[in-house]
Amino acid sequence: MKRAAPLTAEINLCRVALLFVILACLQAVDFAHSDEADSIWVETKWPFLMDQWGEGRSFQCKAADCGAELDLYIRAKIGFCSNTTGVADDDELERLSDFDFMKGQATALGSGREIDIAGMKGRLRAYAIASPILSQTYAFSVAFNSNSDALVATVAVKGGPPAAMEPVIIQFLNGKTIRRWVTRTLGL
Amino acid sequence: MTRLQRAEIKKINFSRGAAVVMALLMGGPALAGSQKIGDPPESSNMRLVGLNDLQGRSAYQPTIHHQGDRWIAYIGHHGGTDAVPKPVNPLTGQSEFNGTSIVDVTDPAHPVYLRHIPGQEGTYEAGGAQMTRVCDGKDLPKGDPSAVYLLRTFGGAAHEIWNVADPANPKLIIRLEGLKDTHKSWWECKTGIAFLVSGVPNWRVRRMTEIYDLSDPAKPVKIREFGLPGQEPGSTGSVPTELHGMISTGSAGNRVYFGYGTNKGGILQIVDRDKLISGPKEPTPENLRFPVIGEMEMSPLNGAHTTFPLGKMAIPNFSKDKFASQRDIVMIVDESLVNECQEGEARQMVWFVDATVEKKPMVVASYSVPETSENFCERGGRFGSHSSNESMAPVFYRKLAFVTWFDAGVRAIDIRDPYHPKEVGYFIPAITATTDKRCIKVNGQDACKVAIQSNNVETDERGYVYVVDRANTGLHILEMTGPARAIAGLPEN
Repeated sequence: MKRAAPLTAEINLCRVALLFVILACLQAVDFAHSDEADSIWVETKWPFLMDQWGEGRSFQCKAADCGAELDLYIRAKIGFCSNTTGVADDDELERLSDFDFMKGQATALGSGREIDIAGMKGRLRAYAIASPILSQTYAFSVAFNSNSDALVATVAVKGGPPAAMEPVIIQFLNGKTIRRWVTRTLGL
Repeated sequence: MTRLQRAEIKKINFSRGAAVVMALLMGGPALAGSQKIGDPPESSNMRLVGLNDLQGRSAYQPTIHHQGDRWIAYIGHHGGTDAVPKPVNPLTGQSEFNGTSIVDVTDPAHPVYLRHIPGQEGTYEAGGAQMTRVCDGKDLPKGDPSAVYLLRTFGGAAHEIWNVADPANPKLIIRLEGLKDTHKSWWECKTGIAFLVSGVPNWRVRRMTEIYDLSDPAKPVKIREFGLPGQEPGSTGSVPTELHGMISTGSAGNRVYFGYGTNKGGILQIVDRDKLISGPKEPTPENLRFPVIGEMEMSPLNGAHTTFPLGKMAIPNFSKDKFASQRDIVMIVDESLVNECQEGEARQMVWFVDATVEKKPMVVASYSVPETSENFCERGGRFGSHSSNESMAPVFYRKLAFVTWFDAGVRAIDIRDPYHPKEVGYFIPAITATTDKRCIKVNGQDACKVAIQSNNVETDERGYVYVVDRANTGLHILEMTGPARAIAGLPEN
């Protein structure tokens, strides 16, 4: 048994080492890009009528999963962005934005901010939405670009506060579902 | 027949023979419609008279000006390419950012390149000097009678005015700068009023209108800013489609036809010119609506790149009508932006609008190039309309319109009956070693082709047609032949 003890210790050491390797591997996995991060979002039917930009994709996240009910609409606007300056400021963000999807009068809640989505530079801005038929809601407009092609996401928020929703939205936009769609849509 | 024409025919016959030999060597015919270096131009009722490679620079707007006893072409350029951002000017031996080419086309068979004025640093749409308009000083109310003035853009950042009385030695007079995205402006030579496509900071669009009194080009006087309500500083919500350009009929016609949108969300706006210039100037929604007579929203799938007023036209089929047998017609040309008919864009084409009742304009006809005949969607680059000639000289006005169609070259359209426009000619220039490639993404990789990209066209009072190429092939000077020539009333050639 004297010889078995070191053997057991070696096995345990190996187990610990293996655990570290597994943990290291798990840490290396970017959860933001995993399917798990996307799983709380359910794809829904595109709810808007045809317009010049055509249809995009529509997703919903329930309040129980995201802290507020979120409806996210994203679509490409091919050739509509400056390939030299990108989504440089709030003027450009608003020029690209789908305000009609916000279902009410939008008032900006401060300035927008720069973000990185799917490896692209973009901008995000929050709005308060006033509507005669809906209770107080919020919305986000997010736009990012690849050369002259813009991707524009509009997120309607039922409940709040909107600041708490930002990380959830950015995480989803950086997830596999959207990345795959962007790659396919823009032919990247 | 000129020596050039004989040489062209020899070249065509040689090229046809070479193409047959190549096809046999390759074991079969080439892909239908695709262009190869050495292929002849394709044409119907239009003939090549002369050409110039414009130093291999991507071309936008040509203006042909009768200057004394000479004819001078002023041609705007986009910025250079990634491969050649700053082409060499053989006249100076220097690398110069693309700007404006000045070419003497007095003898259209032998155009002479006079001068290149460099433009803004930057490639493609980010650089260059795309737009040109020219007025004689003797026509402008307060101009120097000995001067000839070139109004051009400087990249997207500024407008410039040059004295080009000696077109080989232009002199800069003034620059209006600090703008976001200048583009295709309009300048009335008789009054000096200029409608400048600008991007004034704080406006919510990259392109809107600045109106200037340029009757004395050395002393510009700003009159006002103009755009669609919702574009002005301080407005909120959706931003209406941004401006592309406008054409004024001057003080006599008292109308300005604004075109908003390139390939989407097109709007034709008909504006009372006097009210626009003299009305309240603060850019409030009310003041922006004040001079507007009528607007027509197009299908959101199409834009309004060029809004060319054709004025009152007798409609052949209405000739016996006691009421409204003449109609006020506007031709709208969309711009295609997307290569090889890919995602994100519907077919862009030409629309004829009956604006007799100016408050309620209505599209009554369209024209489009048949795609399937030559596989234009697969030739390479863009396929679709871009712009028309804007000359109102009697030789072609209300008879023939010329519209560039990128890889389908320039198309001649019989518009005498604007309710039934029909194509009567076309010319697709041959590609050359300087013609640039155009790419699409296939499985994440660039798939590139070389094809002509006829971008803009203009005509002169003599009846010559000037078509320039976005893919660096240069300037082609054409003339009409056969029945299409007869429509213009030109003598047989």
